[in-house]
Amino acid sequence: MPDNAIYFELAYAATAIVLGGYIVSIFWRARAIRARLLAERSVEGR
Amino acid sequence: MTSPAKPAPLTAPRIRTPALDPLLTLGVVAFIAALVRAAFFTPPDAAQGMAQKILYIHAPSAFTALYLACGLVFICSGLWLWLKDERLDRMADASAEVGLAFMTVVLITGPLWGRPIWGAFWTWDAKLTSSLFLWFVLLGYQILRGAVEEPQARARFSAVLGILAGCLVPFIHLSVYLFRTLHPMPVVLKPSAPSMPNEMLVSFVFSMSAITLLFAGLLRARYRLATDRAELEHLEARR
Amino acid sequence: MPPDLLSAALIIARKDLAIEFRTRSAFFSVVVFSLLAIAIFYFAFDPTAVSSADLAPGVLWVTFAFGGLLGLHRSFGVEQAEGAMDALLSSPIPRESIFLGKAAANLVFVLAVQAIAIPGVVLFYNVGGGMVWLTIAGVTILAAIGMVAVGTLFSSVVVNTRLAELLLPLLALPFFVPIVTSAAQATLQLLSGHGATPAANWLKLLAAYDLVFVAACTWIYPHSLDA
Repeated sequence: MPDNAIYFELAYAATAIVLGGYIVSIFWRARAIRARLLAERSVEGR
Repeated sequence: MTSPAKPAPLTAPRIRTPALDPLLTLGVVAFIAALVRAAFFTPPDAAQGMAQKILYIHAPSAFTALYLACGLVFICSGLWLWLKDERLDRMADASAEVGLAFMTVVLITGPLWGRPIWGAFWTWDAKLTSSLFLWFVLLGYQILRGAVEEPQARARFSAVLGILAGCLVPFIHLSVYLFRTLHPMPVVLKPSAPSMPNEMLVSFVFSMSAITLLFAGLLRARYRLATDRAELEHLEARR
Repeated sequence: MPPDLLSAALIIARKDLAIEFRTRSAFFSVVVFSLLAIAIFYFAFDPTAVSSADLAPGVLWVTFAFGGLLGLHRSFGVEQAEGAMDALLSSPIPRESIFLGKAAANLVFVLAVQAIAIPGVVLFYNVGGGMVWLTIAGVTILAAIGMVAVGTLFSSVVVNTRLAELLLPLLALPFFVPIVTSAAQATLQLLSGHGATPAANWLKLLAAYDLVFVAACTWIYPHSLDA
């Protein structure tokens, strides 16, 4: 059996970083938009 | 809290509260479980070693990015031209971005598998080339959307790009296929897919379902972001 | 009575070509760019490793793609001044005609540039061929049709974005991949004397690309405009 575990480890780590980073990016953007949206709504409702 | 908010106009989407999307949470948990199962509870391949385990991420991500995400972009773009419903535009936006994330995973994991198994990070094979250019098109799609302020124009332009990209993919595939048959490349060690042992098959089906679930969760979270952003644009435009 | 699809397209094409012919600014810039690019490419490769004749098709078609982009972005750019585009849209001609006319003018433009760039490649890269160049002229026409169809459409889209001409190569180049591949391979096959048979497959691919994208772009162009 060839010893190529390093590629497997790199691939799994890279996947976790890319998808994890993407989830965090969605989360932060959603939070920022919602904060602005709520501020805008309170102006509307007044 | 001050006075109660006025009822939102019919076109404006309503607020949604959950901070932790249940579908996304489920997708993330299933994905982690699938990774753990593939990494620690699945035997490595006798011929390919540990690198074979990259398949459990690579193939389902490719399926998700190519067929689910890009298919959805193409269908939503086409339907948008017909129905002009802004929800279709948001769905195209969301699936293009989630598709870009999965396509990035595909393009990273692919070469990491290719290096130990084929002996090269990259070959200009039809599938690889199509994926690479599709990645570029998805990136261009995001940049195009970012470069247009007006929501109507943004929807029109991205629908146009979404449909044309759908027409492009078969041509890239065909031209690279023709390129390769005219220029036979040095034979790379391409192991024929052996019938998978049961344990590996279960891991594969598990990660396939988990990644599809993760895609659905990400798509929904991203779609909500688009909805909120649309409402924000709507409110800001009225001022 | 409003003119029909094709005669209206002809009016648009003549208008664009008249503007181009009177100013000639874009044409000369693109020609000079193409010749410069062809010359620079020569020094980017090792002539002892790859014979310049083998390099020529690649150089020719890559230059073609980039030179084309340079010329195409101006196609709708000229309509930006003084609300010319609004006047064009409110005129009683079908919107498909605006697209077809613009694309036809761009086709003439691109072919005129190639009429200078191809002899430039023949001269600088010492490629013979003789009568083969007649067939290559056919390849050029097929490649140019597909390129201007996609390029004209994206040109109309990008002039309305914040990034304008910066965005055009980003969107259009992936669409030029099948064109550049097919045209360069067909040229290579023809020049290396393998006859027309291996080149024919590439020409078929180019023809199919033209058919699909001319139809798709003409149909979709009115949808890219404000209703």
